[in-house]
Amino acid sequence: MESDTLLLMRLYWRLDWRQTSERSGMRLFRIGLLALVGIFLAVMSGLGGYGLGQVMQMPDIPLDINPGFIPGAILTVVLLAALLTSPNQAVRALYLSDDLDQLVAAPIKTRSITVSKLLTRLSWTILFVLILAGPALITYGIGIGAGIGYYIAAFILLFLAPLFGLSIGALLAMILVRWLPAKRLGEMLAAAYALIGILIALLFQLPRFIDFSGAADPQTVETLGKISDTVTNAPIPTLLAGQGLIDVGQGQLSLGLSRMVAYILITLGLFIVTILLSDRLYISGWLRMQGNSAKRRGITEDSGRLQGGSLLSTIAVKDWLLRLRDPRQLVSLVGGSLIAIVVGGLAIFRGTGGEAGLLEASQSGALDLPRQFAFFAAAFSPGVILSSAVLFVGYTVFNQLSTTSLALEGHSFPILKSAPITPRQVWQGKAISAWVPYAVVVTVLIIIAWVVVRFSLPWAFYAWACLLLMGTGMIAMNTSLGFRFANLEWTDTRRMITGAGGFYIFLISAVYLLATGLIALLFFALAAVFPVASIPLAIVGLIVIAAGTAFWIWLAGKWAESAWNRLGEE
Amino acid sequence: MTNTVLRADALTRQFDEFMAVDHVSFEVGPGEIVGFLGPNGAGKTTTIKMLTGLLAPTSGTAQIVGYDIQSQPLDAKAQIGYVPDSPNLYGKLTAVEYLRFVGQLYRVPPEKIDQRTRNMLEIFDLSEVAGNYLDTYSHGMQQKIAISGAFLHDPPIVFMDEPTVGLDPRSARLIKDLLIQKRNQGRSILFSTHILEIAQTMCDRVIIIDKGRIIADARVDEMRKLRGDQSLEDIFLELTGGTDVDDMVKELANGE
Repeated sequence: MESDTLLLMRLYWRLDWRQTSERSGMRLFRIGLLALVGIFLAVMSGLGGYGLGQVMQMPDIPLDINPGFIPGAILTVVLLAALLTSPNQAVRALYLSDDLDQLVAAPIKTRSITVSKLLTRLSWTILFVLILAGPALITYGIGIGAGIGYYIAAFILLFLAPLFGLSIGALLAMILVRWLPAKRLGEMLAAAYALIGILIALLFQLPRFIDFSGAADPQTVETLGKISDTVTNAPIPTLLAGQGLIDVGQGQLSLGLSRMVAYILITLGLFIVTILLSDRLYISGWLRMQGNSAKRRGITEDSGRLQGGSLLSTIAVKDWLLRLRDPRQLVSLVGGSLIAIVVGGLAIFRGTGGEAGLLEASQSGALDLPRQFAFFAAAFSPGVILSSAVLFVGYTVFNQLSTTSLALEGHSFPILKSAPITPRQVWQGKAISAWVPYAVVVTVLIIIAWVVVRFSLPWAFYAWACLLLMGTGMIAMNTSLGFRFANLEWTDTRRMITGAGGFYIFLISAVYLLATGLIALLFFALAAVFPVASIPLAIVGLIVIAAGTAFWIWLAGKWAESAWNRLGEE
Repeated sequence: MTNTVLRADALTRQFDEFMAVDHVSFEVGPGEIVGFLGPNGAGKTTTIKMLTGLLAPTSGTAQIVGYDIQSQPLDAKAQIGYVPDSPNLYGKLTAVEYLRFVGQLYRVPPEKIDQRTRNMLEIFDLSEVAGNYLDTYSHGMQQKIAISGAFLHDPPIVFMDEPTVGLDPRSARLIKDLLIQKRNQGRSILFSTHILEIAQTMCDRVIIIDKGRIIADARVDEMRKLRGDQSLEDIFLELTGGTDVDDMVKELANGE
């Protein structure tokens, strides 16, 4: 069994290495960029760990925190991260990889397949752990002046921490596959991760709702100290290991080692239990997967949508069905909208860190400029601020929707390319699928903004028309750029556009929106200086933006057509 | 308009230094089933992709019912049905939705889409799962839906790349019958296959391609007569340099 396991592990590592080391300009650039990000995160992690260690050494620190709490918390975070990511990794490795038919049919023990697949995945998790948590754990030791034993033990624990999470994740995956088809489960887990990412992003907005002025009062400090004590002494294996680490660092070898050995036994024990259970769970789940367990739904009067309508609307509706029915697409769409609304809304209505929001500042006159600067002051009027927020929401949601609309075809792209349909029709259908909901969202948000803050009604119409035109140009161009940079081989929704594409799309969208936004603002500002000419100025402003947008759409159409011929040929 | 349904003229495709298809020329008439045979990597799929407008040729032309696939792509594509080597369908559409979508792409009147969809699903025994998402289908079931989509607009010619791969014997037989029925209605089919037995029993004509070049193009009966009544398999192996296969099989059987 061991030789099979090692053989498979060596194979997977070699394949991973080949994929990573494959030389191409863009790949090397991405690896370089990732390395830079990794170094930055490692440095930040190290600085954080050292800082915490130094704080713990301060004699007048108000909060009485057990020194073992910090390494325990770091290991717990590693465990949780491994726990969160491992079910999806396990589903992909154990149920959705291409070599399974061959492996299951070969005279190899199931245990060799599960162990090799799980441990190969584990090596990548350990790499991330060493980059993200390793520096913090090591520099924390330096900060508190721990002995050599601390560092040796920390190194061992870092390797073991992900194993605990991976074991639970793998067990969970093997159990869930008995009820859900593996592919569906993979989609749902990917969607769940995206959702967790969104929730974390939203959590970063929490400080805006918290008043920190009373954070240092003695009662709060005492409560926090009690919480820290309770958590440190909780029967969580990683916290036990953290405490053992400190004991070893302080020279209390027998106590420290006993705690760490307990943790190691629990972790290895869990992994062994997982492997033993996998003998039964894995193969029965895999066999179940081979049969079609979906509930049979025959032809009924309403066996689905896509009945009637024009060719363009058919393409648009088809795209929406694909987005709404794939949990990964749905979460990315809903999550993006949620973040945009919360971040945009908070910036306007709450401001940052207890300061007044932009809107409040604008309404209170805090942003008013002297009369001779009325032209510039117009940029800070409530209507402009609210319109910018609406544009921000529209951009965040529909930028992604339009750029990925062609990539949504994926491997099915030959269906469109071999059909008697022009690239322009496909481009129009895709753009319409993003533009119609954009127009609805922008209209609703402008109405809400006007109802909440009664700024000038005629200028609300101006803002609405400008936003519709700007969105039309943005969606047209982004759809077109999506043709140029589509990755039709995607399996992960975050990889629907090629790496370089994301950068160009952001740059081109930003330039266009900035240019048209400034033109819209220019005519509004001129009207603030010459109020009698407001109506003609608004009309001229709209005509200029419409003309610019028309040119932009024409350009986008041409680009889409030229990109079409190359699509699917690589 | 012309009597020839498909005319490929010096069709060539080069990928960097590699010549995948080298000046391939042939014609397909109405009511013909043509087998497009060749070893792996011979250029079958590349040729079919150029004929269906999925891949631009480096040089040469292809005409479908008189329409040039490069200069009149819409007219040409309206005349073809295409079944790719792997049925990559939209996983989150139901079979009915997929066929409606394809029908609308090819401008089939809605009532005909519904009628043909029901017929096709019934023929392939998929009516009971027609409301399920396609990503719950097996490979063979997806292949049947891809074939249904290719015939939905009743085109003069259908290109099929390995259509019987992944199909059970009953479904493979159904497809054979369907192709023969379409041929009798005057439709043409060009299909690539590795199963020479199918080619021998079904095809009116076979074209054999090797290393990007056509090395044989004749009616099956004529070809066999010329080669002393050899089976198509023997002819194929002889032409593509696979005559040493017998020796290799013996060596393998002896465990050498």
